[in-house]
Amino acid sequence: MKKTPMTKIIFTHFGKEAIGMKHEKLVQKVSELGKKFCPDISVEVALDNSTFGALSKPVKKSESNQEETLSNYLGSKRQFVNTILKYIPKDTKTLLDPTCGSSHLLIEAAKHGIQIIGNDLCPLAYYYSAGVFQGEKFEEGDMRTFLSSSPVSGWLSKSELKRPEKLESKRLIDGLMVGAYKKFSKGKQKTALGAMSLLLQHYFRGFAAFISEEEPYSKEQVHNDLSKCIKDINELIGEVGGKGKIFNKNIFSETIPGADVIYFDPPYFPAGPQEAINYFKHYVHANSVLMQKKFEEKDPTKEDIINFLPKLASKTNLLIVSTSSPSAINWGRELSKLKKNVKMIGISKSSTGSQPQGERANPVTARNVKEHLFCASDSEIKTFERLEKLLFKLEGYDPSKINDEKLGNDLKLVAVKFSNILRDEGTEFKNKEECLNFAEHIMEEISKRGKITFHPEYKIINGKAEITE
Amino acid sequence: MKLTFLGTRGEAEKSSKFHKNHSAIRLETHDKIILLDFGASWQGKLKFVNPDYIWLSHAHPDHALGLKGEKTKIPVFMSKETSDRLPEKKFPLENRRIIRDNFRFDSIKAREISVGHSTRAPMSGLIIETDEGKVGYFPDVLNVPDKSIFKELSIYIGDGSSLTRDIVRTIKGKRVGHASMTTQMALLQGK
Repeated sequence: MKKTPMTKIIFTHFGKEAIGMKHEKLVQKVSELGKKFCPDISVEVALDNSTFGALSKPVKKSESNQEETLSNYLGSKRQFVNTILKYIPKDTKTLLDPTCGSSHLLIEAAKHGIQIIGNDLCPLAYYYSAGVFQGEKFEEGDMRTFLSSSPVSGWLSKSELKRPEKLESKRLIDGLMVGAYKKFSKGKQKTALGAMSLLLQHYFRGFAAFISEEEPYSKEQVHNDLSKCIKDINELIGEVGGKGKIFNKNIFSETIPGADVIYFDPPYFPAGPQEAINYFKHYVHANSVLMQKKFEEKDPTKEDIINFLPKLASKTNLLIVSTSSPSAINWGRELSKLKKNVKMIGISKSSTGSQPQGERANPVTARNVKEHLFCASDSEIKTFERLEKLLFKLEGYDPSKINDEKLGNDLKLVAVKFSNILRDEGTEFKNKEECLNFAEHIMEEISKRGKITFHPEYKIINGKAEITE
Repeated sequence: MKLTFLGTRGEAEKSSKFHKNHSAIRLETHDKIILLDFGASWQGKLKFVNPDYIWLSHAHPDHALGLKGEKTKIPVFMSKETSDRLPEKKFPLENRRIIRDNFRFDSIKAREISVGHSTRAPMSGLIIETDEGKVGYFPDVLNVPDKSIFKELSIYIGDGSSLTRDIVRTIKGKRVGHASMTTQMALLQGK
């Protein structure tokens, strides 16, 4: 028989033999059987509430040896931001994103000094973005006030997700939600709500946690996670706070403000005829908890989107549509009706696991994620190189003091800069050797920690990560 | 494609922290949510999952009883044999889709395969074409009619009833039960 392309076997539906065994023993036994009978295939044991991307690991917290980092459920376009920025002219003063999600592009644009206007009807996206751009930094005292919110029976405890009702973690989250609304006002309220959005994005990644009979999160963990969220939002406020405005409107029925560039990332359209879009459905529970009432907005249709394009085109010099479903609408044709020049740019990035939805990166295999940019303008469509923003200071850089996630990012950035050096493009490094030395410091620290997942730009050679030229 | 194993317990009286709920898998692909089986412990909880489609492998309680009393419009895909064993009075499902062999969850291609497991509740395996390859779902299986069906699978979701010994009984001359994990792995290797 031809060899199968099978990559994974997952056993479920356990009987008394497996259930009676200690979990570690079961995993060990199944793995041994796997090595014996299917040596080339990963053989795994499914647990209640465990999640697998095609090739990623289960996310059951108690089972994970890896450090849990907070994940952002929204923001699938994050990895394309730098490419998209290349098409935004250097002299751009204002950028509008009418369906901004968690504002990854807007945040980067604002860092480059562009005034931004964002909008999203989805509360999860809106509260986060508004927190970042319009929030006021939390002080220690604010944090204490926030965390002192008493548990209450709110939307998460009482309505559709009520069963099992006894879970204290649900009442705790409801209490914090109510606390965010009642204990704060103006900018601080926006920060509190932004942090709650981030927390819910993280917790709803494995939505099944809240219908388990067991407490998915302890009070201490919720408080720790929320503190991390506030720290994240505080940092972003420091970088881009006040550099734009975010709205929470149904943009299809609103007047559109003018902007030098409009970036439009319409909801994803699945392949096939007459398919409905389920964008809001994915976020319904998290949105409802955030609003403390049922979220009932309807997704726009393809027609809504097509009819919306002329409105957008009339308000800007350059309209950029970014979509991962290029065949659902004939974007080229629709945009050609509105602007003289239309250019399609395909971007492809290699992604491990289900990163777009915020899953942990997978160290094993990557897959390609494709995105299509359609730039429409009456002027010529050009690319603009921006100076790479320095994400770290070379002087006094101490890898041992940097957290896992940032260290991984820094290594990635060094790799980019290294390839720039090889192409004779300038970087802040004096030469190739200095860049390699710097990378070596980071890699030494990573090898010491031994738990950072790598992207495929790196090869793991003899247990050490090495940048490939 | 994303798989969430909501429940991983078969028809065993015992349960544990990690295998508390009966079989149910939430499969997310092509922007759709497909619920694969919904065992007894899930009764009344369908609205939490809120899938676009439901697939039932067979009519045993640990796979289907979660739908008891559900008057839902969500399309429930199953074989005729399974549907016949889920009386309308107890399972007032409004949108039953009887399938055989190749079919589609709208645009998502899938294939039903009758496999050996039970005479009382004939069992169907499922092969579904996700955006990341074909996934095979065979939660209760003793034997398959044709081993070549495994050739193109990227992921196999199999029966964890027993580790190394097949659980087999003979009823009216027919073998019923569960293939062990090792037997299934051998089958997958074409042995």
